[in-house]
Amino acid sequence: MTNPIIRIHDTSTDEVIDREMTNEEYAAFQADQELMAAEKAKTEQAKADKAALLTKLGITADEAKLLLG
Amino acid sequence: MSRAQVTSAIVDLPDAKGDIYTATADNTPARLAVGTNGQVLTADSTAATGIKWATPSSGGMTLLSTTSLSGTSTAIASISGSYTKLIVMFDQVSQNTTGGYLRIAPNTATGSTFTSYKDSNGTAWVNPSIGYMYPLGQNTPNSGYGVTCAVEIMDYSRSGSTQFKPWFSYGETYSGGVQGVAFASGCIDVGSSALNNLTITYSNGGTLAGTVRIYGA
Repeated sequence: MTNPIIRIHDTSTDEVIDREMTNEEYAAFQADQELMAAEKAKTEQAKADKAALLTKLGITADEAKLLLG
Repeated sequence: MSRAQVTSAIVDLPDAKGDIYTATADNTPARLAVGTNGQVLTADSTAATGIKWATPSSGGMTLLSTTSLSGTSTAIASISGSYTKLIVMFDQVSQNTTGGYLRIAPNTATGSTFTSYKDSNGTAWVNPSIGYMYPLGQNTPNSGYGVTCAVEIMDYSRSGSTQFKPWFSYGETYSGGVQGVAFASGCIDVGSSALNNLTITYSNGGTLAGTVRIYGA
């Protein structure tokens, strides 16, 4: 399996190189993707928790804003 | 210099319209030819006469590079450090999948940063993340949908102690499936280095398309 392609544009020479990520770059890329996925899951969980709490209280999000305002 | 020498210099030195008298050293008169139209006389200690004709700075922008985005990431490297501000223009930038956020890493994406985002559709977002600027916040344009925005990075060429570069962006967005306009701002930590490299990616690893032009000002 090949690694993703990256492009490098050296603006001092205007040279453009398209190449596969090195294994180190790919490992860093994958780690970054996992970090982003974890952040996204955290955000989704916070949304779900908020919705569950509103349901439990029997009020809407707008009504909750009124209470907190 | 004797009166006779001074008189001789005054009479003999000029050769052409616009010539001016100057000196290269004590008792050493010299001729400086006029510059071109629009130039102004500027002090320059490296010039033989200590002055020169130079084109005044217009205060405008200079196009430094035009890059066609491709692959999972595109690095724009060796950016000139001769300016104070970078304007990074994203022209119809898109990706081939959905679910990711357009982002820019300065040098290496290791420093702390902070993005504050708001758009005309009422979406607000704050992200105290590591290493990236998010000019379109958390919005996710449809696959293949090109967005256009400008990102200005101030004081990018300064190096030394820990460098936080303020930045802001403005342009078109696509939040919740609705077109709108957006504004984002933040501060990016590039360590002790000047900023000379920008890497463009989408957070979900989508394949990039579109054009990025970088201007110096």
